[in-house]
Amino acid sequence: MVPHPFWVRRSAALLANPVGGVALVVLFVLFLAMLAPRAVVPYGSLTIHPADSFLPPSVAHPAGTDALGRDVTSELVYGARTTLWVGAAAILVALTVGASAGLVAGFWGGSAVDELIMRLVDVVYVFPSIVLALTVVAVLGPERIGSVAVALALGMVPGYARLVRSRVLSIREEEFIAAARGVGATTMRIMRKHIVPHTVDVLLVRSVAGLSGIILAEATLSFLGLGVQPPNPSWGRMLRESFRYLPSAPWLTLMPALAIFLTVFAVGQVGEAIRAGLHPRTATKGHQP
Amino acid sequence: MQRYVLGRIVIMIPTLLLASTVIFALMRTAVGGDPVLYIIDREEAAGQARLLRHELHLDRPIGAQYLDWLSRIAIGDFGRSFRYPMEVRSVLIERLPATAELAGLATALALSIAIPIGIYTATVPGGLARFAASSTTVALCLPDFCLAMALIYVFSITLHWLPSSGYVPLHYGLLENVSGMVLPAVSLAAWYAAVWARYIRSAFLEVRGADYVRVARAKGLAERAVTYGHVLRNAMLPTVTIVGQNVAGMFGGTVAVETVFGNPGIGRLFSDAVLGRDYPVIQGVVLLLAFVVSVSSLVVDVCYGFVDPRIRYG
Repeated sequence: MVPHPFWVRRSAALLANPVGGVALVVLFVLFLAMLAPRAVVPYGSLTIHPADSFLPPSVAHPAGTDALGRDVTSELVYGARTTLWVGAAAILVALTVGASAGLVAGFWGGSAVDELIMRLVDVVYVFPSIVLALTVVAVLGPERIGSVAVALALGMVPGYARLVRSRVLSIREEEFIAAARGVGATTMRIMRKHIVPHTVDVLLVRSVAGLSGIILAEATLSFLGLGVQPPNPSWGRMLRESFRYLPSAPWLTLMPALAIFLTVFAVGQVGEAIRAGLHPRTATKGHQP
Repeated sequence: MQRYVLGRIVIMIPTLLLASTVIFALMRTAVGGDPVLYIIDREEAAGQARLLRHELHLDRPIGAQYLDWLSRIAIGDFGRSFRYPMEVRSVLIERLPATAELAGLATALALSIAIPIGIYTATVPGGLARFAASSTTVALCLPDFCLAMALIYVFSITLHWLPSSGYVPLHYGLLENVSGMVLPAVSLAAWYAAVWARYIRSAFLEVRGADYVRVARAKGLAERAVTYGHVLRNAMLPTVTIVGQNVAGMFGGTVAVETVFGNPGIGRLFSDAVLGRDYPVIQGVVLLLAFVVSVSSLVVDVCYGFVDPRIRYG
């Protein structure tokens, strides 16, 4: 159904506890890091200081320094920017492509177009998502950051398509659609004014939940060396580079891992609050993988 | 039943064909890299590159390459690796046991964690259940390779209990094999255990309110009998589906964990192949995984018939 305006207040109420507070603070810091990293990082640039390499966490360097003497905190903040931009771009691509495909397939449900779209969706489902992402990155070339976003998006397209299709299939049978048709509304108008608004809530919930998955997947790609490439900083690649220093400099591994964990956790908490705010009566369900 | 299974297999074929076409087209129109240049590395060796292209049949029309490739697949020939002096089929067969063992162990481990936690958090209210539920949230937010590195730091580097890398095939000794598999299996299992525990919990809560559960209670069955005989059996139905899908996906999901631990499995083979643009190997792995996913979804559907007597396939 079309989201009732009270959902924002209900969602906010669900975050009014210590855990929700932590989630909101983390998201606020990330948002700041995304828009104005200079405002957050103690050291303006990622310049190297070979003399200061492998310093453990201290007041001057809260997350320590890496092999080249770079301040890890600064790297993390710039990495946050990459992670969030790639994640947002991937969600946007998947949402646009998947929801459009689902809208068309659902509106003309049972037609040849529907059949074709759903067969293509089935094909994407046959591949494990990380394998699909790796293959697409290899094809498009990880040098461009956009191809990482597209690779991550592709695995999410079928989910959106199926979600929107099933919603549209039930909505098009509603009486208000027949009424709209009766007063002479065009197909485009019916889609825009009467069908799309009814998919907003499920799309919102799926997008926020999807963002957690995208962040984890991006970290995995970058860890394997096929995600975000230098000079763009990335948490996954920080982990790739720090792995060999694990015995001597564990904080180089701990800090990016903590950043990934906190981000995914915060996004997940907010997503859960939005879901519960939109559908207050449904019981808590497990995350869709 | 037989007709249903046959029908499902017939439907599987066009999907797999379409999947293979997509992958083949994707790889060959790749702007990401000319495989020959990844082997030769030098643009100036143009004559040599042409020779190598000819040798690998990369100079033939794309349609001919595809048909050639497909007809070979049909008889189980995946072609030769660009980088290893081996048939792709032999590489796959060589790498499969390590991944199958890892996925099998991780599945067993994840199930043995998820089922008790799922049931416990659904039936027993209180602090411990809340703690267990929060643990699943934590496990869902951590990438498997991060957990892997944390485990290596604690159990290999600090405590020296378990090796941090190295796969010992089973026939060299059970203990050596298992001790090398513990950390990878735990790293891989944690996320799945959390997902499945949540599924079991929500399925359990959903079933518990059903009419037949109330009837079972009303006729005086003990709580235990209701929980295990009526609620659990029905709650396992949706769980079977998700577990089946995830286990198939796990074969591909081992990429990062196998890289961390240096396990010579399918996942690491795949990431190496992608890094080196070894097209025949990439195609072989992707096709193998697509096959595994398709077959397992078939198996899940058939299993459904056994778990749920209400479902009868014509």
